Amino acid sequence: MRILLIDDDEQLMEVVASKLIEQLYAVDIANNGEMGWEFVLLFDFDLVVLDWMLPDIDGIELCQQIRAKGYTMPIMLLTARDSQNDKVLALDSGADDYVVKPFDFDELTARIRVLLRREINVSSPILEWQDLSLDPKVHEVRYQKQLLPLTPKEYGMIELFMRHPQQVFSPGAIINNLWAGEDPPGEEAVRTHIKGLRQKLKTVGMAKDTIKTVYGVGYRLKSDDDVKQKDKSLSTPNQEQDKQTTITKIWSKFKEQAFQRLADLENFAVAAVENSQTSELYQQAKSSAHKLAGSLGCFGFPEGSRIAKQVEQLLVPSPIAKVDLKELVRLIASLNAELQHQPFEETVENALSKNISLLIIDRNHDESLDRQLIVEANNNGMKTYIANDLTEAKTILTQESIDALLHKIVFPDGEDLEFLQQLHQRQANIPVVAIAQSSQLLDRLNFVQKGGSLFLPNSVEPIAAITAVSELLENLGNAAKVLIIDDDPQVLLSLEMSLEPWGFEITTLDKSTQFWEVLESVGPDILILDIDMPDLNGIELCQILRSDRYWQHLPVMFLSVHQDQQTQNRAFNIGADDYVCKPVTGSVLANRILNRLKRSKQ
Amino acid sequence: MKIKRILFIDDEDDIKTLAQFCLESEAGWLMISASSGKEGIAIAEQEKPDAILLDAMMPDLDGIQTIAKLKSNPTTKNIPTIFITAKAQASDRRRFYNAGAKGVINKPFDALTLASQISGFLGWQ
Repeated sequence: MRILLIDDDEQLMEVVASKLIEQLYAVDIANNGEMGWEFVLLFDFDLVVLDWMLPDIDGIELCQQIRAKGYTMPIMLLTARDSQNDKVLALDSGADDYVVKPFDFDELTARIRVLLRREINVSSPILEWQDLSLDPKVHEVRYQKQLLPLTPKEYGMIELFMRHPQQVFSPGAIINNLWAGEDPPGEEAVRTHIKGLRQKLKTVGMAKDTIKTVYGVGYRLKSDDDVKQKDKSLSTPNQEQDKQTTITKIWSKFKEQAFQRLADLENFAVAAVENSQTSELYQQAKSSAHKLAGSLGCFGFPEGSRIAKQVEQLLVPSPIAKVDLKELVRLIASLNAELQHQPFEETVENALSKNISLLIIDRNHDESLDRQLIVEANNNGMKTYIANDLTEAKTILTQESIDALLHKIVFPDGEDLEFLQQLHQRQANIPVVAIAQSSQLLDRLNFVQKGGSLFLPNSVEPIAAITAVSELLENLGNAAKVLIIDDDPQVLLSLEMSLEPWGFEITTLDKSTQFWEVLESVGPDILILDIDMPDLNGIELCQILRSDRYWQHLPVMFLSVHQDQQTQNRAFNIGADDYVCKPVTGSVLANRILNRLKRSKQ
Repeated sequence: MKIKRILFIDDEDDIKTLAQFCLESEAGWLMISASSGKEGIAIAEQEKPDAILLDAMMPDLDGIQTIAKLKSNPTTKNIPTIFITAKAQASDRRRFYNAGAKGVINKPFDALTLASQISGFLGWQ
């Protein structure tokens, strides 16, 4: 599947692209309308993500242009405009979905998946399931090529099952679907029709239990693939592990080469410090930095690639004398330290990380105050990042998962405010606390209007500033009730701890058989389900929930180690609202929960 | 179904070995490798692979020069070519596409999704 992103915010699009690539899409980026249009003419895209405000053309116009040419791929429009009229205008001009900036990256990719799935569903009007095919135009169902003589209700029933092959339908749900507008019959009628349908399926040679009874819940199709699929998805994390092991083996073969490239960098740095550098050493260092930047990430050292890229950029200025040697030596040392780790090690660390991350922006380099803030933040279980200018801050924000921001400013100037506004548009869930010298009303107003959360005077104690950050995070969760079901008590404990800073009211359950009792007694605002569990698995729990009149609209989020598309589609098909892959950090999960809760309130 | 054969032209062995593992074990394709633009063109002519992965920065013939030669040769001009590069600003992408590329993959690439990115760019799914 190939996706085109048309937006002039390249930095933002790079992040979206990397998320989509992770999900196995091929992605192109165009940074203006003209280039976007060229791309559309040149290649076949399965989906286009289009910004409304492009530097050269109105996104709406481009959308109309694409449709006027007869292209039918789904188009998702991105925009900062949020009025009802704008939405109508966007949809009328041919867009299929409309996403308001700021958006959550994961949510955006989830919506892209939904659009693509919809596309697959409409592109093939004939429904197929195993050897059964159903043509809705002529109301015919065939097994292999043999026509099944079905009554209208039997036809309606098999169509319902084939359209939702994973879903369990209660007799009530079947009645609602098949007898809409008629006097509803008793549940006995459903059983009679199911029996008739099973008989006819059996006559043509299908298994007797093709339509499976889920005791106490209802009916669903029984797929031969059920068992196979389960095995396949179960082995996925192991396969992932296997692949990483193989990549690690390949790495060990080429490790020497990487260290040789690192040595090229060191040789140049040493020569440069001694002022004896040659252009040969310089070229060699440049080439090695480039190669390291391009390869380390592939071998499970994403941080290594990032540092090597910084080295490469540092080596750009000519003449060589202008290279910042102090910085070069520092970067080479961190690259060396990075390469002492095992490949993919960072992933493991991330998985275990429970800390929340605080970014401190200090454009005045007040080191003593920064140190005190860091100490207090660490005491509060926070990991800290320091940025001494806004460009650095932006880089950290795109590369790290930051949960809160402490911005030290003298008087908020235009640059600060623009930064704040952009941040608010992209990552609205990040609370921003300003420590400011100015207490002018106008400054305060500007700050809050651009998305700032709390304004503190310059005299604030470091401990009070950090406490204020913690409190803001806690308020985000607003004591929303989160019910998490996973059969591993260890996972539950770690989830509970990592979500704690956001102020959710969390209940955990490790026995899925007690699901209903706990659900009714807790009355959650959102449900988080693991997929693989003994007794009742997450998919089954979600099916049960979706067939209950009272609980069917409760937001459900899956949290699973299965990264394959098939399992994710399965979860969405049975009514999941979101799907998050493990390992996940507390902050990513918290943000997904916050976004989901926000959407369910809309 | 015929097994797909991919030619990877890159002067870095580690990247090629990794790509070979990904493409062969993941996608079941066959990877042929070349270490320079010149060698790549010769192999492409002889083997006529289903697709070419081309590094942008190589000594001697760089990616743009290589693709120009591939496109001007009747035997190789229709082989879809994808750039693999650590350097892909919008302006670079445009240059690659103008030269006839069918897709651009950033380095470092995600080893586990390489095959699906290629398939996506070439409409192989």
